[in-house]
Amino acid sequence: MTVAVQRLTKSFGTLSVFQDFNLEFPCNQITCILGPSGAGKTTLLNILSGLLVPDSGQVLGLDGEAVSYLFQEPRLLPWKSVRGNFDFVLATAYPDMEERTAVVEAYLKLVELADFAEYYPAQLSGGMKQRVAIARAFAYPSKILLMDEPFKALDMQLKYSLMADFIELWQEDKRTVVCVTHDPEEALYLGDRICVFSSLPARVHKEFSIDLPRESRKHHDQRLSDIRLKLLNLLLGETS
Amino acid sequence: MKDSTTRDKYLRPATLLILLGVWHVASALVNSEILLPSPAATLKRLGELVVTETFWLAVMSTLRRGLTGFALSLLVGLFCGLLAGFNQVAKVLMQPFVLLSRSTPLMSIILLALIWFRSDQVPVFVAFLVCFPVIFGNVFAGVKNVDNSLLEMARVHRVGWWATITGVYLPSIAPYILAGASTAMGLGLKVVVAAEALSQPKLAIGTRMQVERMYLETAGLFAWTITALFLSWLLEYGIRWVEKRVRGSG
Repeated sequence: MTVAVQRLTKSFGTLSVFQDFNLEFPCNQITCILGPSGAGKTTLLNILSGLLVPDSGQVLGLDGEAVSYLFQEPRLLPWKSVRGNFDFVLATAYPDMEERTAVVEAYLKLVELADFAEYYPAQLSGGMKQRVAIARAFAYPSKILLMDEPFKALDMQLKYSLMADFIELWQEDKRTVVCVTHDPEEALYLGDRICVFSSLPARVHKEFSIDLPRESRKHHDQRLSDIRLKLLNLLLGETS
Repeated sequence: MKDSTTRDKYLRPATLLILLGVWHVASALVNSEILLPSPAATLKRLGELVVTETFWLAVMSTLRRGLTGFALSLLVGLFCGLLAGFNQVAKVLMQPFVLLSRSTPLMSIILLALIWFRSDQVPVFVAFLVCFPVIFGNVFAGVKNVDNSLLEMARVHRVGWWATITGVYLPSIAPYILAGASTAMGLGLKVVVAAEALSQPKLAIGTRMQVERMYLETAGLFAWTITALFLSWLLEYGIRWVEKRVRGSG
Protein backbone atom coordinates (compact mmCIF):
# COMPACT_ATOMS: atom_id res chain seq x y z
CA MET A 1 0.00 0.00 0.00
CA THR A 2 1.28 3.43 -0.94
CA VAL A 3 2.16 5.76 1.87
CA ALA A 4 0.57 9.17 1.55
CA VAL A 5 -0.47 12.24 3.49
CA GLN A 6 -3.99 13.46 2.89
CA ARG A 7 -5.52 16.87 3.56
CA LEU A 8 -2.75 17.61 5.98
CA THR A 9 -2.98 20.78 8.04
CA LYS A 10 -0.43 21.83 10.62
CA SER A 11 0.47 25.17 12.09
CA PHE A 12 2.77 26.34 14.86
CA GLY A 13 1.04 29.27 16.52
CA THR A 14 0.19 31.66 13.74
CA LEU A 15 2.63 30.04 11.31
CA SER A 16 0.72 27.81 8.92
CA VAL A 17 3.13 25.16 7.63
CA PHE A 18 0.70 22.86 5.85
CA GLN A 19 -2.73 23.81 4.57
CA ASP A 20 -4.76 21.03 3.02
CA PHE A 21 -1.59 19.37 1.78
CA ASN A 22 -1.55 16.09 -0.20
CA LEU A 23 1.40 13.99 -1.28
CA GLU A 24 1.97 10.36 -2.20
CA PHE A 25 5.16 8.39 -1.70
CA PRO A 26 5.30 5.57 -4.26
CA CYS A 27 6.30 2.17 -2.91
CA ASN A 28 9.93 1.11 -3.14
CA GLN A 29 10.99 4.45 -4.55
CA ILE A 30 13.12 7.25 -3.25
CA THR A 31 11.19 10.51 -3.09
CA CYS A 32 13.39 13.53 -2.52
CA ILE A 33 11.86 16.65 -1.03
CA LEU A 34 13.81 19.70 -2.08
CA GLY A 35 13.24 23.18 -0.84
CA PRO A 36 14.61 26.14 1.07
CA SER A 37 15.00 25.89 4.85
CA GLY A 38 11.82 26.59 6.74
CA ALA A 39 9.68 25.09 3.99
CA GLY A 40 8.15 22.42 6.23
CA LYS A 41 10.39 19.56 5.10
CA THR A 42 11.36 18.34 8.55
CA THR A 43 7.82 18.92 9.81
CA LEU A 44 6.59 16.53 7.14
CA LEU A 45 9.06 13.85 8.29
CA ASN A 46 8.09 14.36 11.92
CA ILE A 47 4.43 13.91 11.04
CA LEU A 48 5.19 10.75 9.05
CA SER A 49 7.23 9.36 11.95
CA GLY A 50 4.58 10.20 14.53
CA LEU A 51 6.83 12.62 16.44
CA LEU A 52 4.36 15.37 15.56
CA VAL A 53 0.59 15.12 15.42
CA PRO A 54 -1.09 17.05 12.58
CA ASP A 55 -3.87 19.51 13.37
CA SER A 56 -6.03 17.69 10.86
CA GLY A 57 -5.65 15.29 7.96
CA GLN A 58 -4.02 11.89 8.04
CA VAL A 59 -1.12 9.67 7.12
CA LEU A 60 -2.27 6.76 4.97
CA GLY A 61 -0.63 3.38 4.50
CA LEU A 62 1.41 3.22 7.71
CA ASP A 63 -1.25 2.14 10.24
CA GLY A 64 0.86 3.56 13.04
CA GLU A 65 3.75 1.26 12.14
CA ALA A 66 7.24 2.19 13.22
CA VAL A 67 9.52 3.95 10.74
CA SER A 68 13.27 4.09 10.26
CA TYR A 69 14.65 7.57 10.65
CA LEU A 70 18.06 8.71 9.52
CA PHE A 71 18.84 12.07 11.09
CA GLN A 72 21.25 14.78 10.09
CA GLU A 73 23.52 13.70 12.95
CA PRO A 74 24.25 10.02 13.64
CA ARG A 75 22.46 10.16 17.03
CA LEU A 76 24.41 7.30 18.55
CA LEU A 77 24.45 6.74 22.31
CA PRO A 78 27.97 7.80 23.33
CA TRP A 79 28.11 5.33 26.23
CA LYS A 80 27.28 2.30 24.10
CA SER A 81 29.46 0.49 21.60
CA VAL A 82 28.41 0.25 17.95
CA ARG A 83 26.86 -3.13 18.73
CA GLY A 84 25.20 -1.72 21.83
CA ASN A 85 23.67 1.03 19.71
CA PHE A 86 22.19 -1.53 17.33
CA ASP A 87 20.91 -3.63 20.24
CA PHE A 88 19.27 -0.58 21.79
CA VAL A 89 17.13 0.04 18.70
CA LEU A 90 16.64 -3.56 17.54
CA ALA A 91 15.82 -5.26 20.87
CA THR A 92 12.06 -5.21 20.32
CA ALA A 93 12.15 -6.23 16.66
CA TYR A 94 14.65 -9.05 17.26
CA PRO A 95 14.15 -10.33 20.80
CA ASP A 96 16.26 -13.37 20.01
CA MET A 97 19.90 -12.56 20.78
CA GLU A 98 21.38 -14.87 18.16
CA GLU A 99 19.19 -13.59 15.38
CA ARG A 100 19.87 -10.00 16.36
CA THR A 101 23.61 -10.56 16.42
CA ALA A 102 23.43 -12.05 12.93
CA VAL A 103 21.47 -9.05 11.64
CA VAL A 104 23.92 -6.59 13.19
CA GLU A 105 26.91 -8.44 11.75
CA ALA A 106 25.34 -8.54 8.30
CA TYR A 107 24.60 -4.82 8.18
CA LEU A 108 27.95 -3.81 9.65
CA LYS A 109 29.59 -5.90 6.96
CA LEU A 110 27.61 -4.12 4.26
CA VAL A 111 28.99 -0.74 5.38
CA GLU A 112 32.46 -2.24 5.91
CA LEU A 113 32.48 -1.69 9.65
CA ALA A 114 32.41 -5.33 10.75
CA ASP A 115 35.65 -4.87 12.70
CA PHE A 116 34.30 -1.91 14.64
CA ALA A 117 31.36 -3.52 16.44
CA GLU A 118 32.97 -3.09 19.86
CA TYR A 119 34.15 0.49 19.26
CA TYR A 120 32.53 3.46 20.94
CA PRO A 121 31.23 6.40 18.86
CA ALA A 122 33.98 8.70 20.20
CA GLN A 123 36.56 6.36 18.66
CA LEU A 124 35.04 6.63 15.17
CA SER A 125 35.32 9.39 12.57
CA GLY A 126 32.30 11.45 11.57
CA GLY A 127 31.85 9.49 8.34
CA MET A 128 32.08 6.15 10.14
CA LYS A 129 29.49 7.25 12.67
CA GLN A 130 27.07 8.24 9.92
CA ARG A 131 27.71 4.88 8.21
CA VAL A 132 26.76 3.16 11.46
CA ALA A 133 23.59 5.25 11.51
CA ILE A 134 22.77 4.30 7.91
CA ALA A 135 23.29 0.61 8.69
CA ARG A 136 21.16 0.95 11.81
CA ALA A 137 18.35 2.56 9.79
CA PHE A 138 18.33 -0.33 7.35
CA ALA A 139 18.68 -2.99 10.04
CA TYR A 140 15.57 -1.63 11.71
CA PRO A 141 12.61 -3.35 10.06
CA SER A 142 10.15 -0.83 8.67
CA LYS A 143 8.10 -0.12 5.63
CA ILE A 144 9.34 3.40 5.19
CA LEU A 145 12.69 5.09 5.73
CA LEU A 146 12.78 8.81 6.49
CA MET A 147 15.95 10.82 5.96
CA ASP A 148 16.52 14.38 7.17
CA GLU A 149 19.56 15.68 5.27
CA PRO A 150 21.77 12.83 6.47
CA PHE A 151 24.64 13.84 4.18
CA LYS A 152 24.60 17.53 4.97
CA ALA A 153 27.42 17.88 7.45
CA LEU A 154 29.99 15.98 5.37
CA ASP A 155 32.66 17.06 2.93
CA MET A 156 32.09 16.45 -0.78
CA GLN A 157 34.08 13.21 -1.14
CA LEU A 158 32.64 11.62 1.96
CA LYS A 159 29.17 12.69 0.93
CA TYR A 160 29.35 10.88 -2.39
CA SER A 161 30.96 7.78 -0.92
CA LEU A 162 28.25 7.62 1.76
CA MET A 163 25.50 8.17 -0.79
CA ALA A 164 26.96 5.30 -2.83
CA ASP A 165 26.94 3.12 0.31
CA PHE A 166 23.38 4.12 0.94
CA ILE A 167 22.26 3.24 -2.60
CA GLU A 168 24.04 -0.10 -2.36
CA LEU A 169 22.11 -0.95 0.78
CA TRP A 170 18.91 0.30 -0.75
CA GLN A 171 19.33 -1.83 -3.90
CA GLU A 172 19.35 -4.87 -1.59
CA ASP A 173 16.32 -3.73 0.33
CA LYS A 174 14.18 -1.31 -1.66
CA ARG A 175 12.21 0.48 0.97
CA THR A 176 9.99 3.45 0.40
CA VAL A 177 12.27 6.37 1.16
CA VAL A 178 11.42 9.99 1.87
CA CYS A 179 14.59 12.04 1.74
CA VAL A 180 14.59 15.69 2.71
CA THR A 181 17.41 17.83 1.37
CA HIS A 182 18.28 21.34 0.29
CA ASP A 183 21.02 20.17 -2.07
CA PRO A 184 19.93 19.59 -5.72
CA GLU A 185 22.95 17.35 -6.41
CA GLU A 186 21.92 15.04 -3.60
CA ALA A 187 18.37 14.86 -4.93
CA LEU A 188 19.61 14.22 -8.47
CA TYR A 189 21.83 11.40 -7.31
CA LEU A 190 19.39 9.67 -4.96
CA GLY A 191 15.87 10.35 -6.12
CA ASP A 192 13.46 8.46 -8.33
CA ARG A 193 11.32 11.50 -7.93
CA ILE A 194 12.05 15.04 -6.80
CA CYS A 195 9.39 17.26 -5.28
CA VAL A 196 10.29 20.92 -4.96
CA PHE A 197 8.49 22.65 -2.10
CA SER A 198 7.35 26.26 -2.25
CA SER A 199 7.56 28.62 0.69
CA LEU A 200 4.92 28.41 3.44
CA PRO A 201 2.28 27.13 3.58
CA ALA A 202 4.07 24.32 1.84
CA ARG A 203 2.89 22.87 -1.42
CA VAL A 204 4.63 20.94 -4.18
CA HIS A 205 5.78 23.60 -6.57
CA LYS A 206 7.17 21.25 -9.20
CA GLU A 207 7.83 17.57 -9.59
CA PHE A 208 10.46 15.69 -11.59
CA SER A 209 10.91 12.00 -12.29
CA ILE A 210 14.32 10.53 -12.96
CA ASP A 211 14.32 7.08 -14.51
CA LEU A 212 18.04 6.87 -15.09
CA PRO A 213 19.90 4.05 -13.35
CA ARG A 214 21.99 5.51 -10.56
CA GLU A 215 25.25 4.09 -11.89
CA SER A 216 25.01 6.37 -14.89
CA ARG A 217 24.09 9.47 -12.92
CA LYS A 218 27.70 10.23 -12.12
CA HIS A 219 28.45 10.78 -15.78
CA HIS A 220 27.28 13.60 -17.91
CA ASP A 221 23.75 13.08 -19.13
CA GLN A 222 21.66 15.58 -21.03
CA ARG A 223 18.37 14.77 -19.29
CA LEU A 224 19.99 15.06 -15.88
CA SER A 225 21.54 18.39 -16.85
CA ASP A 226 18.16 19.70 -17.94
CA ILE A 227 16.58 18.79 -14.63
CA ARG A 228 19.55 20.25 -12.75
CA LEU A 229 19.12 23.55 -14.53
CA LYS A 230 15.41 23.66 -13.81
CA LEU A 231 15.97 22.79 -10.15
CA LEU A 232 18.52 25.52 -9.76
CA ASN A 233 16.25 28.05 -11.38
CA LEU A 234 13.40 27.04 -9.12
CA LEU A 235 15.48 27.20 -5.97
CA LEU A 236 16.96 30.54 -6.92
CA GLY A 237 13.45 31.88 -7.31
CA GLU A 238 13.30 32.34 -11.06
CA THR A 239 10.19 31.14 -12.84
CA SER A 240 11.44 29.68 -16.07
CA MET B 1 50.94 14.96 29.80
CA LYS B 2 53.54 12.69 31.32
CA ASP B 3 55.71 15.62 32.33
CA SER B 4 52.94 17.28 34.27
CA THR B 5 51.99 14.09 36.14
CA THR B 6 55.55 13.43 37.23
CA ARG B 7 55.85 17.06 38.22
CA ASP B 8 52.66 16.72 40.26
CA LYS B 9 54.12 13.72 42.02
CA TYR B 10 56.94 15.86 43.37
CA LEU B 11 54.86 18.96 43.82
CA ARG B 12 52.30 17.48 46.15
CA PRO B 13 54.69 16.42 48.95
CA ALA B 14 56.47 19.72 48.43
CA THR B 15 53.31 21.75 49.13
CA LEU B 16 52.74 19.69 52.25
CA LEU B 17 56.26 20.48 53.43
CA ILE B 18 55.77 24.19 52.72
CA LEU B 19 52.52 24.12 54.71
CA LEU B 20 54.24 22.44 57.66
CA GLY B 21 57.11 24.93 57.41
CA VAL B 22 54.79 27.96 57.50
CA TRP B 23 52.88 26.44 60.39
CA HIS B 24 56.11 25.75 62.31
CA VAL B 25 57.50 29.25 61.78
CA ALA B 26 54.17 30.86 62.69
CA SER B 27 53.85 28.91 65.92
CA ALA B 28 57.47 29.73 66.82
CA LEU B 29 56.71 33.43 66.29
CA VAL B 30 53.47 33.31 68.31
CA ASN B 31 55.31 31.29 70.92
CA SER B 32 52.24 30.09 72.75
CA GLU B 33 51.08 26.48 72.63
CA ILE B 34 47.57 27.59 73.55
CA LEU B 35 47.15 30.06 70.69
CA LEU B 36 48.97 28.15 68.00
CA PRO B 37 50.53 24.78 68.87
CA SER B 38 53.54 23.66 66.84
CA PRO B 39 53.30 20.83 64.33
CA ALA B 40 55.50 18.73 66.58
CA ALA B 41 53.19 19.18 69.57
CA THR B 42 50.15 18.41 67.43
CA LEU B 43 51.73 15.28 66.02
CA LYS B 44 52.73 14.16 69.50
CA ARG B 45 49.17 14.62 70.73
CA LEU B 46 47.84 12.79 67.68
CA GLY B 47 50.21 9.92 68.44
CA GLU B 48 48.88 9.75 72.00
CA LEU B 49 45.29 9.72 70.75
CA VAL B 50 45.68 7.12 68.02
CA VAL B 51 46.66 4.38 70.49
CA THR B 52 43.53 4.81 72.62
CA GLU B 53 40.36 2.84 72.02
CA THR B 54 38.14 5.93 72.43
CA PHE B 55 39.86 7.56 69.47
CA TRP B 56 38.85 4.81 67.09
CA LEU B 57 35.36 4.51 68.56
CA ALA B 58 34.88 8.26 68.11
CA VAL B 59 36.18 8.18 64.54
CA MET B 60 33.97 5.24 63.62
CA SER B 61 30.90 6.85 65.20
CA THR B 62 31.43 10.10 63.34
CA LEU B 63 32.05 8.23 60.11
CA ARG B 64 28.89 6.21 60.64
CA ARG B 65 26.82 9.35 61.24
CA GLY B 66 28.27 11.05 58.20
CA LEU B 67 27.64 8.06 55.96
CA THR B 68 24.11 7.56 57.28
CA GLY B 69 23.20 11.19 56.67
CA PHE B 70 24.82 11.05 53.26
CA ALA B 71 23.06 7.81 52.28
CA LEU B 72 19.70 9.21 53.38
CA SER B 73 20.19 12.40 51.39
CA LEU B 74 21.36 10.39 48.37
CA LEU B 75 18.27 8.21 48.48
CA VAL B 76 15.75 10.99 49.07
CA GLY B 77 17.58 13.44 46.81
CA LEU B 78 17.71 10.93 43.97
CA PHE B 79 14.04 10.09 44.29
CA CYS B 80 12.87 13.70 44.59
CA GLY B 81 15.26 14.93 41.89
CA LEU B 82 14.02 12.37 39.38
CA LEU B 83 10.40 13.08 40.27
CA ALA B 84 10.84 16.84 39.94
CA GLY B 85 12.78 16.41 36.71
CA PHE B 86 10.00 14.46 35.06
CA ASN B 87 6.98 16.11 36.62
CA GLN B 88 6.31 19.84 36.64
CA VAL B 89 3.77 19.63 39.48
CA ALA B 90 6.20 17.70 41.68
CA LYS B 91 8.88 20.29 40.90
CA VAL B 92 6.69 23.20 41.98
CA LEU B 93 5.57 21.35 45.12
CA MET B 94 9.14 20.54 46.16
CA GLN B 95 10.63 23.95 45.48
CA PRO B 96 9.84 25.52 48.90
CA PHE B 97 11.30 22.51 50.76
CA VAL B 98 14.49 22.57 48.74
CA LEU B 99 14.79 26.33 49.11
CA LEU B 100 14.27 26.07 52.87
CA SER B 101 16.85 23.33 53.34
CA ARG B 102 19.29 25.27 51.17
CA SER B 103 18.97 28.72 52.77
CA THR B 104 18.23 28.04 56.45
CA PRO B 105 21.31 28.97 58.51
CA LEU B 106 23.22 25.88 59.57
CA MET B 107 23.02 26.97 63.23
CA SER B 108 19.20 27.10 63.12
CA ILE B 109 19.12 23.56 61.78
CA ILE B 110 21.50 22.30 64.46
CA LEU B 111 19.71 24.09 67.31
CA LEU B 112 16.31 22.89 66.15
CA ALA B 113 17.63 19.36 65.75
CA LEU B 114 18.90 19.56 69.34
CA ILE B 115 15.32 20.15 70.45
CA TRP B 116 13.83 17.45 68.24
CA PHE B 117 16.31 14.56 68.34
CA ARG B 118 18.56 12.45 70.57
CA SER B 119 22.12 13.73 70.76
CA ASP B 120 23.58 11.03 68.47
CA GLN B 121 20.82 11.53 65.89
CA VAL B 122 21.29 15.29 65.61
CA PRO B 123 24.40 15.14 63.35
CA VAL B 124 22.72 12.60 61.04
CA PHE B 125 19.69 14.81 60.60
CA VAL B 126 21.78 17.92 60.02
CA ALA B 127 23.97 16.14 57.46
CA PHE B 128 20.90 14.89 55.67
CA LEU B 129 19.33 18.33 55.51
CA VAL B 130 22.51 19.99 54.26
CA CYS B 131 23.33 17.32 51.65
CA PHE B 132 19.82 16.86 50.32
CA PRO B 133 19.54 20.08 48.24
CA VAL B 134 22.95 19.43 46.67
CA ILE B 135 22.00 15.94 45.49
CA PHE B 136 18.53 17.07 44.50
CA GLY B 137 19.83 19.99 42.45
CA ASN B 138 22.34 17.84 40.59
CA VAL B 139 19.89 15.04 39.79
CA PHE B 140 17.35 17.60 38.61
CA ALA B 141 19.92 19.29 36.35
CA GLY B 142 20.91 15.84 35.06
CA VAL B 143 17.35 15.01 34.03
CA LYS B 144 16.96 18.40 32.36
CA ASN B 145 20.18 17.96 30.41
CA VAL B 146 19.37 14.61 28.82
CA ASP B 147 19.99 14.96 25.08
CA ASN B 148 16.61 15.45 23.49
CA SER B 149 17.80 14.26 20.08
CA LEU B 150 18.67 10.85 21.57
CA LEU B 151 15.25 10.64 23.21
CA GLU B 152 13.67 11.44 19.85
CA MET B 153 15.75 8.72 18.20
CA ALA B 154 14.54 6.24 20.83
CA ARG B 155 10.93 7.31 20.47
CA VAL B 156 10.89 7.07 16.67
CA HIS B 157 12.24 3.54 16.86
CA ARG B 158 9.70 2.55 19.51
CA VAL B 159 12.25 1.71 22.18
CA GLY B 160 10.43 0.68 25.38
CA TRP B 161 10.32 2.95 28.45
CA TRP B 162 12.53 0.73 30.58
CA ALA B 163 15.19 0.48 27.88
CA THR B 164 14.97 4.27 27.42
CA ILE B 165 15.53 4.85 31.14
CA THR B 166 18.47 2.47 31.43
CA GLY B 167 19.88 3.26 27.98
CA VAL B 168 19.47 7.03 27.74
CA TYR B 169 18.42 8.63 31.04
CA LEU B 170 20.60 6.86 33.60
CA PRO B 171 23.89 7.05 31.69
CA SER B 172 23.41 10.77 31.06
CA ILE B 173 22.40 11.51 34.66
CA ALA B 174 25.13 9.38 36.27
CA PRO B 175 27.91 12.02 36.04
CA TYR B 176 25.61 14.58 37.68
CA ILE B 177 24.76 12.18 40.51
CA LEU B 178 28.45 11.48 41.11
CA ALA B 179 29.38 15.15 41.10
CA GLY B 180 26.57 15.84 43.58
CA ALA B 181 27.62 12.91 45.76
CA SER B 182 31.20 14.15 45.86
CA THR B 183 30.21 17.67 46.95
CA ALA B 184 27.64 16.36 49.45
CA MET B 185 30.12 13.93 51.01
CA GLY B 186 32.65 16.65 51.78
CA LEU B 187 29.97 18.99 53.07
CA GLY B 188 28.32 16.21 55.09
CA LEU B 189 31.36 15.37 57.16
CA LYS B 190 31.99 19.03 58.02
CA VAL B 191 28.47 19.62 59.31
CA VAL B 192 28.42 16.30 61.19
CA VAL B 193 31.46 17.41 63.19
CA ALA B 194 29.88 20.84 63.77
CA ALA B 195 26.63 19.28 64.97
CA GLU B 196 28.50 16.85 67.21
CA ALA B 197 30.37 19.70 68.88
CA LEU B 198 27.02 21.10 69.97
CA SER B 199 24.94 17.96 70.56
CA GLN B 200 27.75 16.17 72.42
CA PRO B 201 27.11 12.50 71.71
CA LYS B 202 29.27 10.23 73.84
CA LEU B 203 31.56 9.06 71.04
CA ALA B 204 32.27 11.67 68.39
CA ILE B 205 35.06 13.72 66.85
CA GLY B 206 33.06 16.90 67.47
CA THR B 207 32.57 16.07 71.13
CA ARG B 208 36.29 15.39 71.58
CA MET B 209 37.12 18.72 69.92
CA GLN B 210 34.81 20.53 72.34
CA VAL B 211 36.44 18.78 75.31
CA GLU B 212 39.94 19.71 74.13
CA ARG B 213 38.83 23.31 73.74
CA MET B 214 37.40 23.40 77.27
CA TYR B 215 40.76 22.32 78.68
CA LEU B 216 42.55 24.74 76.31
CA GLU B 217 44.33 21.75 74.80
CA THR B 218 44.75 23.45 71.44
CA ALA B 219 47.18 20.78 70.23
CA GLY B 220 44.45 18.21 70.82
CA LEU B 221 41.96 20.32 68.88
CA PHE B 222 44.44 20.43 66.00
CA ALA B 223 45.00 16.66 66.22
CA TRP B 224 41.27 15.97 65.93
CA THR B 225 41.02 18.44 63.06
CA ILE B 226 43.73 16.56 61.20
CA THR B 227 41.80 13.35 61.84
CA ALA B 228 38.65 14.89 60.35
CA LEU B 229 40.61 16.13 57.34
CA PHE B 230 42.03 12.69 56.78
CA LEU B 231 38.57 11.16 57.01
CA SER B 232 37.18 13.58 54.46
CA TRP B 233 40.11 12.85 52.12
CA LEU B 234 39.41 9.13 52.48
CA LEU B 235 35.74 9.58 51.57
CA GLU B 236 36.58 11.76 48.59
CA TYR B 237 38.95 9.05 47.44
CA GLY B 238 36.17 6.48 47.80
CA ILE B 239 33.86 8.53 45.57
CA ARG B 240 36.59 8.92 42.96
CA TRP B 241 36.98 5.15 42.97
CA VAL B 242 33.26 4.64 42.40
CA GLU B 243 33.34 7.27 39.65
CA LYS B 244 36.12 5.47 37.84
CA ARG B 245 34.28 2.16 38.00
CA VAL B 246 31.08 3.71 36.66
CA ARG B 247 32.97 5.41 33.82
CA GLY B 248 34.84 2.20 33.04
CA SER B 249 31.74 0.07 32.73
CA GLY B 250 29.73 2.75 30.94
